[in-house]
Amino acid sequence: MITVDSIIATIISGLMLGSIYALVSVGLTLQWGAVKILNFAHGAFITLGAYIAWLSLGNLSGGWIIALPMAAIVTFVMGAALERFIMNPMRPKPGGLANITISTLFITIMITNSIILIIGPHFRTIPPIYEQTYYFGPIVANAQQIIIALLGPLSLLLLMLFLSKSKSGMAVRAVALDKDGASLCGINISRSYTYAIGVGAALAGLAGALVGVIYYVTPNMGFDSYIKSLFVITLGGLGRVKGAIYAAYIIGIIEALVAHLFGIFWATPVLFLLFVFFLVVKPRGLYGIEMEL
Amino acid sequence: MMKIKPEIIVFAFILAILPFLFWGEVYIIHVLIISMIFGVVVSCWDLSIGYAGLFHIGQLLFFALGAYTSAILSIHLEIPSWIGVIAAGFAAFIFSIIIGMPCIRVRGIYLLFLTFALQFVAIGMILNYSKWTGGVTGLLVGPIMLGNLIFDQFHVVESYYLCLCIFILSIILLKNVVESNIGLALTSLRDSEKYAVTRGVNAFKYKMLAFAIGSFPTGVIGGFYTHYTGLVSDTILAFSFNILFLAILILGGRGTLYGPLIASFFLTFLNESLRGTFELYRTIIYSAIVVLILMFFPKGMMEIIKNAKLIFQELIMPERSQAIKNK
Repeated sequence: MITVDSIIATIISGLMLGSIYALVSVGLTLQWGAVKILNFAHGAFITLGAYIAWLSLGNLSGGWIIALPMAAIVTFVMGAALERFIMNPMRPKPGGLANITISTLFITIMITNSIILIIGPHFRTIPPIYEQTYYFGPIVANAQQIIIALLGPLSLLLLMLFLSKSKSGMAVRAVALDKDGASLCGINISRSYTYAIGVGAALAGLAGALVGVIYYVTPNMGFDSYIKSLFVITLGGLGRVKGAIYAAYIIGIIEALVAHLFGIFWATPVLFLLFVFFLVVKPRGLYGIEMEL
Repeated sequence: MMKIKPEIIVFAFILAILPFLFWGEVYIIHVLIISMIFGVVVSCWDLSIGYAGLFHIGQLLFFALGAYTSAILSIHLEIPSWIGVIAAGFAAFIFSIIIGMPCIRVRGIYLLFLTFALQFVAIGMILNYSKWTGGVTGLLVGPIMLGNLIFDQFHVVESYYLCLCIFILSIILLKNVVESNIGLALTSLRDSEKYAVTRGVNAFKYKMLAFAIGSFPTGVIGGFYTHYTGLVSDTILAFSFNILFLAILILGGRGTLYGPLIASFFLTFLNESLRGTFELYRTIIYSAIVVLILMFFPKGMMEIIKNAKLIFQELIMPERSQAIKNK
């Protein structure tokens, strides 16, 4: 049944999806812009964030006020460690960038399998943030959807503050603009790289905690939003944070509408078919940014 | 004119006598067959990644297309399966030309994205057109039959020699391509595309050739794989296959051709020997090996084999090798 009300409800759930994709892809595009690598381990950080939120809700008191910052902080530390101990030694070697990209793929596998080994392959559920359903006339909206749709922009606002006001954030932006120039001005490039990867990972962890609320927590959950965020960052222009935010909401709404109009099984194939057409028409992305691997 | 290198003859000879050493050990021969199948796919992939510098993950699509073509031809159209296997090669060849057109326009990281997206489109197609493909349950396929000979998992020795034939033929093809002008043009395009194009190398034509030549043996071996295992389903496009093939490629070394072949035997046997007691650690161990290889020997196993003496010296006498380097 397709009515105006159902379309509006679909758009609300599309906005919620868009908030999650925005969190995931802003982290990814920030990492791409500053460090110039495609981080495949981003999907694993989404999963890690969800598991940390689940563990913290189960074992620590404090509920969501503690769980969300925990997810962000722990993934930040792990992302920074990944940059420091694995990517940093590989960078000066020949073919370094392609090798780093491939190694992050295998790090994803290691993280996923470690989770299966330690916690187990079963589905876990995170209790909802706030259970309440609102009726605006004929339109039904879930409180949880609204909270998630608002939490996304809120954390992105925090990120913008970090990037534009704090010294380390400005250093990350400088390195993204011009690595050599930043280095000449006395910016520690290697530390900026660590910050960029860490902040990206923290955003992924936050997104993971939110995805975990909507769906189940499984060892492979991050992969799905990760591959969609690849489309998002290409549409928004690689390395452009604002472009990624707009693109995330567009994709979220398209996905929700396709699932509503054609059925849930078509949502992913149609999205990727669009991606293929997009790349065929614009082989270098919307902004024509060339990226050699 | 095809030339056959002496090392290929030696390789073929060693592989041909292996079943006699493991006579009756069905499981070991089965693992050898799987290693050869993976070896063919990965060495074809190496032609585009290692030699042409086209980093794509479309090789699994050609493999799956070969498998499904052969299965659908033998089940729905009841064509003899050996014709189906050859048709699978041609289907993959034509498909590679069709997807090659957009893929070659796209460069760098976008090529990876495009082939990534195509893989998910293909999974969606398989699940949604279940009338032909069998959907999630897949298709049950009969064995390849030539006269009285049957090639499937229950006749491993026959299958082994058929697989060996495909394996050796594809190595001969790839080696000849790599040593010919095509290989030279591809390497020059990889190293500096702008310079190669100014010197008159047709970038589009040679990149397309790398795609097309690599796809034919992959399609054939995909057809063989379905008839050998007797089943094809959407798990053939699972991402873990990509990971395993990429691990083989990195371990063997990109742009070496023989490296991935050796690495596929090594990694498949490692993978199988870790089953049982170390089942849960299996993937973690081989991922860790790949990350370590990337960190310390980015060119893979062939680099270790070639520089074995130097690495040995480095371990035994670090001061002396440092002195040699400083000279």
